[in-house]
Amino acid sequence: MTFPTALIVLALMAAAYGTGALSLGAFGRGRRELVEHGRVAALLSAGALTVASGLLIRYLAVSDFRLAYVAAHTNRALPAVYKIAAFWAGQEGSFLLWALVLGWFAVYVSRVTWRRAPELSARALTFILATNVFFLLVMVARANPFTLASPVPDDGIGLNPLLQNFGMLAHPVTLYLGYVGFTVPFAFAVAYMLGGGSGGKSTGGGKTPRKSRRGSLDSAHTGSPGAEWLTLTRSFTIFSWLFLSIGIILGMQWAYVELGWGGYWAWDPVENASLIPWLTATAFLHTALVQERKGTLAGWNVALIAATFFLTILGTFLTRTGVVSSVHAFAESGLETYFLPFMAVIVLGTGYVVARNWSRVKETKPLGSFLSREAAVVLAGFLFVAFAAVVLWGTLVPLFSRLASGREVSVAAPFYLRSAVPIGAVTVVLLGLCQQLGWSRTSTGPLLRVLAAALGVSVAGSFALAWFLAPGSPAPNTLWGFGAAFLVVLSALVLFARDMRARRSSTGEGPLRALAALIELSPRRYGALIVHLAIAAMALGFAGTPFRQEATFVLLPGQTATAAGRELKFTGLSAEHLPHRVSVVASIEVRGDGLASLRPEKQYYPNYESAFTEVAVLGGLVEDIYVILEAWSPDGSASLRVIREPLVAWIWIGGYLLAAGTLLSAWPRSLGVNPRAPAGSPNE
Amino acid sequence: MRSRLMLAGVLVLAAVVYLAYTSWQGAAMYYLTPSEVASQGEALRGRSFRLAGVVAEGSVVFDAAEGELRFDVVDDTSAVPVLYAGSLPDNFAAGQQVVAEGTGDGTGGMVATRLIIKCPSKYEEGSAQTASGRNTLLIGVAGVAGSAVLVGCVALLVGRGRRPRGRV
Repeated sequence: MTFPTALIVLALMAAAYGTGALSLGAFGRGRRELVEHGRVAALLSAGALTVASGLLIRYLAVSDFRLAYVAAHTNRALPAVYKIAAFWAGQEGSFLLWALVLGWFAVYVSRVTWRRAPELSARALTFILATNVFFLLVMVARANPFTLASPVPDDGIGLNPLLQNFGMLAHPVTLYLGYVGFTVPFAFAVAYMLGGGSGGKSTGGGKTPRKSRRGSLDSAHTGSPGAEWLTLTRSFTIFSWLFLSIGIILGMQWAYVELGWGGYWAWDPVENASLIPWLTATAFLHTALVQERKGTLAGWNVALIAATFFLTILGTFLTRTGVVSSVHAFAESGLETYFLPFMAVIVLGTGYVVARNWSRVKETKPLGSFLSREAAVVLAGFLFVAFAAVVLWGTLVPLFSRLASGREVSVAAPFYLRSAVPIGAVTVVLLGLCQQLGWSRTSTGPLLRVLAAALGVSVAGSFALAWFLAPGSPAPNTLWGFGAAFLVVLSALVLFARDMRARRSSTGEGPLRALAALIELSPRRYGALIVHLAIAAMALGFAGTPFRQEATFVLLPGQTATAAGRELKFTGLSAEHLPHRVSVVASIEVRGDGLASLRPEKQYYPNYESAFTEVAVLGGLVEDIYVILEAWSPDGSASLRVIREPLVAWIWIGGYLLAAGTLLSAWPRSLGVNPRAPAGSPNE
Repeated sequence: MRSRLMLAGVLVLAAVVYLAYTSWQGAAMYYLTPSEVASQGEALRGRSFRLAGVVAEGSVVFDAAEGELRFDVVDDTSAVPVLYAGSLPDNFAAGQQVVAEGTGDGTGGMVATRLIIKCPSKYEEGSAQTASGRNTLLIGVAGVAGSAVLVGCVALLVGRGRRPRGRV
């Protein structure tokens, strides 16, 4: 056994010991000193994983092909940055990254969260470590990145050229942070159900000095059931949700420029696997707000967060075992034998715990008026879950049909366009309408006036934009999408304007200063508004899809083609020699409102027979011009495919806006405290 | 209020089931082998399906000017000609495993709208085999650790069950 492998085994043993110690120490009349062992074990496990990861990075950086993993995913000519990124290019490295991230989450819970809620944290830590035991187990048994190569090759195979993209540097890491992160809120939910936190637990005698602090901290929250649990779970969920969102957006941007991945979203099983937990987590973030304010829906929230965690494991199972066919193909690995029992344990265990302790989340309080924001938020929760359920069904149907009849049946984009997309559109329309509702109760008169005006403008704007993009009769989906986006934007603007006017009339500040003061006073409210604006921007981008146009031109150097209202002049082909590849580049000058140049390429890599396409994209707020170099002839002519992609930029703008809004609302000062909007605000 | 909320939930559920059911019809695609496509020929005209097989050697023709890719997908007994209107996908080569999504043309061929190409990942399989051969000892260690955790979990659950229910 080599030293790095020993580190992995050490991490596994430490996590397993920690799980055992905490199971005995943190529950029931357990031995409290064992809890300390659990905390040390968590640190030890994370430490061992950190050293192992550092070693893997070193081996990758210096191209040490004694490791099979290094030889399989890098070669000497690979640019240094991709050598490092090869850390998560394969199954083994991905599992190491997963275990490392989860290991540090465990340390965070055992050191930082501990200070606020020691008892709850101890129980949560048990489940976090237990999850890591599973991943370390799989690593040690089947996916050890430190397996030695025999014989040692002179050079590695290299990183698949499709993975040599900026997306490779950031997309997998952010997605993992989000995916792995959902373990933590799940652990806290189960810990709460098992009687941690404010549940009136009878603990044994005070054996450790920590005992008194634990008692006082946790009992401080008995006034509102599960408050500590909810605050912790919610803030960890926001964190994970933020990274999952960024990961999905980066993945979409990457898929947009790779041919054969079907554009930024192809309803591929691997893509769906990231969307489904995102949707259930989104539902949780909404209904958790209701629980925070009204103390209701605790059971629903526990179920949602448990479902989210299960779906991340299911997603990992689907993407890592190759049970469904995907364009983002990973190697088929036969890890089913590990994942299926683990998933069964999660479902049965969580079901058992929730059923046994149902009284902890039983509803006691009424919810309020039907025309209130809490009712709207609950409806939104239903819709997110419905969206998730439809996508899940579409993703799993090949599996179900194979099990049921032995014949595999699958669905593709048309299924989702007719089932999931309408649910999404309805959700966004409701979002536009419901933002205007206040908590508890809303007076209908002013509400209806605002809504009627906003609806009128949105419908008109929707037709106008569709006509601007392409005169003719547009698709109903597009009109719905545009209209919904405009409605949300108008509705948000009305809110901003109203709050600012109230603030200015009471303080006499200028408009910008008033806006800054408002945002500072209630970052959560305005952060959420910004996230909603971001969703509107993305809806606009998605709804533009039907206006996509494409054409192919065969041009000699100096010839010009006209596409999407611009002149494209092909100036010639050139070759580019780099250490790790050879490229054929077509140079194109684009004349529209000014001059721009595009350089689509075909790239040739040693070890790969086929050519790889590097598209060139001229981005713009109205449309992207997307050019592919298809082929060329000995006479110097080139076949160019020119695609007009309308409004795609708005998807990315929405993505970044979403991250910004989430950061604003989740910035640490708002964790735990619940800042209120100024008194003049009509919605607070 | 609660009952009205339930009603809303039931309505959403009904709408979802309806949507999923209606879009299911016409969107469901069977997974077929080249021999199955060849034997069903005429019956597949206009029907959506997925075709899984290997790209036949020497059958790949890409017309860059028209943006049309033609190739045959084969298994041991039959070949199905496929027409794909789109750019030549990266990683596409004869001898490769491919899943084509599209509709039947009624004469034993297919018009594909999406191609899923299995990445060449022979090295992955190879390394997995050496790994499984070499790590028998580790599997033993891991198995013991795993069983310890399982026993712990069971003890925990049983312990919970025996304790009197706490107040809420």
